[in-house]
Amino acid sequence: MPHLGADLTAYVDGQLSADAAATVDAHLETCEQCAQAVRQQKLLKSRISTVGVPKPSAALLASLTELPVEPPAPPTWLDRVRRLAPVSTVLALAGVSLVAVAYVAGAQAGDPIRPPIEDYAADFFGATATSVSAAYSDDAVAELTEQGWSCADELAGDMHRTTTGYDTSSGTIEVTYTNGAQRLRLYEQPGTLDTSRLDGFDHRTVGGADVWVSEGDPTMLLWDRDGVVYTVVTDVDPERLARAVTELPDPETVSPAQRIGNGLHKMSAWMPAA
Amino acid sequence: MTAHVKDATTEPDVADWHAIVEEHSPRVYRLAYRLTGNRHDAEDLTQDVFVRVFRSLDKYETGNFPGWLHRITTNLFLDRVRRSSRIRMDRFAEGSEERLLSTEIQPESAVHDANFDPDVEAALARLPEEFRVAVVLCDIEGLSYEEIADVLGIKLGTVRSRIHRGRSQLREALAHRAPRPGRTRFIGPIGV
Repeated sequence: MPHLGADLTAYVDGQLSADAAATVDAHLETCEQCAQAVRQQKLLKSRISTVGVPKPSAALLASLTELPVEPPAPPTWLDRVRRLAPVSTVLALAGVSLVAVAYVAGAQAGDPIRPPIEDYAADFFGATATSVSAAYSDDAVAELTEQGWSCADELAGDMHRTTTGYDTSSGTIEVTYTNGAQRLRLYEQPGTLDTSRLDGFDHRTVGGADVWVSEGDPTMLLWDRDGVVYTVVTDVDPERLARAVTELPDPETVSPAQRIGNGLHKMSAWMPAA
Repeated sequence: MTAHVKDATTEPDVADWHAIVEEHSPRVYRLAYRLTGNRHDAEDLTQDVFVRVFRSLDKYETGNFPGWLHRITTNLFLDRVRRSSRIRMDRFAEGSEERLLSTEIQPESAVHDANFDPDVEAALARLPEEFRVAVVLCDIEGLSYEEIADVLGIKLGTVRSRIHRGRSQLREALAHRAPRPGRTRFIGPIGV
């Protein structure tokens, strides 16, 4: 037979049929040139196959295992209804009309919380600027946005989002914006704002919205909307701050009638899927 | 809603995921490293693979899990190569050793296997990506031609010719860098 040619590789890899391999074996008995080529290729294959690979770093393994740490879906009207245990028992038994009633009744429900504003203020100027336990990639941020969390790329014109994270212990989304000179940090946490424990905060209007304000270094703003408490910690000027607030979800301003309408609309979207 | 693993709030699923990462990440990383030629891109690629795995676990039907990982890894790699110039072979033309030990590397991974062979690394990295994928799947992952054809979605004859041509190029690349006495090698000379 002629020299091995392209069969050489398949022979070395043991990928020739039994017949073809036998033919090659016979040829190698008599052809030193091909026999040498086979030996060389076997050496090459063994050299490639035994070449070392560095071990994956601990940091990589850690980030892979943390993939399932996903943000919770923002609480919706439905969650708020569910939080009213007696109502949800009724819900299970009754029909759609009761859901609507329960929704209205539960509109102000949700766990009253007071965000750890002292920690936020300390973090703002601290060296370890964040308590975030999981940082998000751009893909994940897109998903967050889709789920209704507020984490736009830009705020107040020239503030750019730098980091987005999630504190697993408190379930808080943390988004940081900067324009180089000034910073704004936004916290979003499920719950309703407990306004009874806001010493040093004034209730007033910023950017057309009723919010709780503590001016200082840093300035802090608090409000809630749809079961999410928003906290802004920042050193931006009042104009930028007002603009930023207009771009974030407003405090609840819709009328109860509209709310029922919204609830029914959401419910109709949800019911067929249930 | 994906029932399996997707929900971070239930302990067993997270435990399952940890087991998957622990069992399969060294293999995926090894393949990624061989394909990309450096740790940084290998880590990126491994991360992408597991994100894909995580999102598609519910679509995975029992069968050949390692084969599924091979397919995801090689396809993501080839996608990246086609889409961007970030992973380019010309980057390896010079200073590849330096690159391999760059500062962004985690210290714990800086220790190489005894068989670390910069000449083979560089030669592999210079192969056109299609050849490299075929050679790596064959020689390092130990796949048969048929399995490689399946993973890459190409014909058996194409697999054969890519490996043949890839190995010829490797042989040429290594011929003038055949180990000589005084140079540390794990195995004897290659080539004439």
